[in-house]
Amino acid sequence: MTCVAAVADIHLGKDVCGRFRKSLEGITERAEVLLLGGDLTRHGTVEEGRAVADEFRDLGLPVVAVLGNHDYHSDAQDEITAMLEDAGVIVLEGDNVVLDLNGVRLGIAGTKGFGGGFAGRSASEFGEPEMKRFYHLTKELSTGLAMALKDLDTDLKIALTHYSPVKETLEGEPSEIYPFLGSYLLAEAIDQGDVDLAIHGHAHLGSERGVTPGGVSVRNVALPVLRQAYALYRLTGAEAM
Amino acid sequence: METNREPHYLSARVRERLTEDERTAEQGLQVVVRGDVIYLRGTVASEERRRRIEEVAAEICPDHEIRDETTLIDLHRPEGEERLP
Repeated sequence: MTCVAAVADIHLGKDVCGRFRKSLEGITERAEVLLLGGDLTRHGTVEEGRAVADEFRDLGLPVVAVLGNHDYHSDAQDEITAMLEDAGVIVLEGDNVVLDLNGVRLGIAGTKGFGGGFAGRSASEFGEPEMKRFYHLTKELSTGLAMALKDLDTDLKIALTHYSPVKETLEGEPSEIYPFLGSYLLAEAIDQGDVDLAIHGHAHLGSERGVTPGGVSVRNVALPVLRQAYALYRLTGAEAM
Repeated sequence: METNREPHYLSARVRERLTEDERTAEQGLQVVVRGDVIYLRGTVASEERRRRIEEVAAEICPDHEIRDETTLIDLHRPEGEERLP
């Protein structure tokens, strides 16, 4: 069985440096991989990116991340990605990684994702150029996730995003802002990808548990939702192997 | 644009500023205006961030009392795990 630790929206800054790392003590005894669902920084600065890299380096287990909207705020997402990778963190955006965890091959595909809303109440690539660009990006990133999942041929598959693929894990948020919190296109990609678990963050007031229309378990691991340093999910599908 | 002092607009403006101001950069906080009182709710990571939130809200609404009802984030280690098929 494979045990996955996951958290998102840690929003590290100078004032909380080192605090999160302390709460990760002993994690290698409880999980085989740590997933970070974006919004690792507050303002997306290089300085904050460095703090995040230090917080997660040399933990003794693989750390796989996607970035979130806060991590893009200062246009330093590429530098932040490079610093995290230097610290050994695997950062995904429209690609995947395969980990061998005690003989079980775990594939993780990831993207930040974007908004646009949910089936029947979603945006469309129509009208003003700004609107077209907005929804075009959602389509592009969702397609990237679908392709990254399609490439995986592993015992277990996880989809890691920042934005939500479903409405259920947004329950608690005002419904008027759902289009800013996720897109059904991410769920469609996940449902096509034979995924065992989908992890996301972004919705601080949302709920932890949901499911895609195709029956894939979705977990919102935003720190304020979890009310603990991280969540642990044991994927029992690996028992059959 | 000048801020309209109607509670409806005031709460919207405070919420936007709490996200856009570099001192706070907080999304997902709730701002409720009732009479002369502004209630701030949600979860924040540190006492310092809480003070910044109060500071920014007070700048926009100097005539209002700020009641900070935010809670500090909990970083305790998980006690259990969820088993998934």
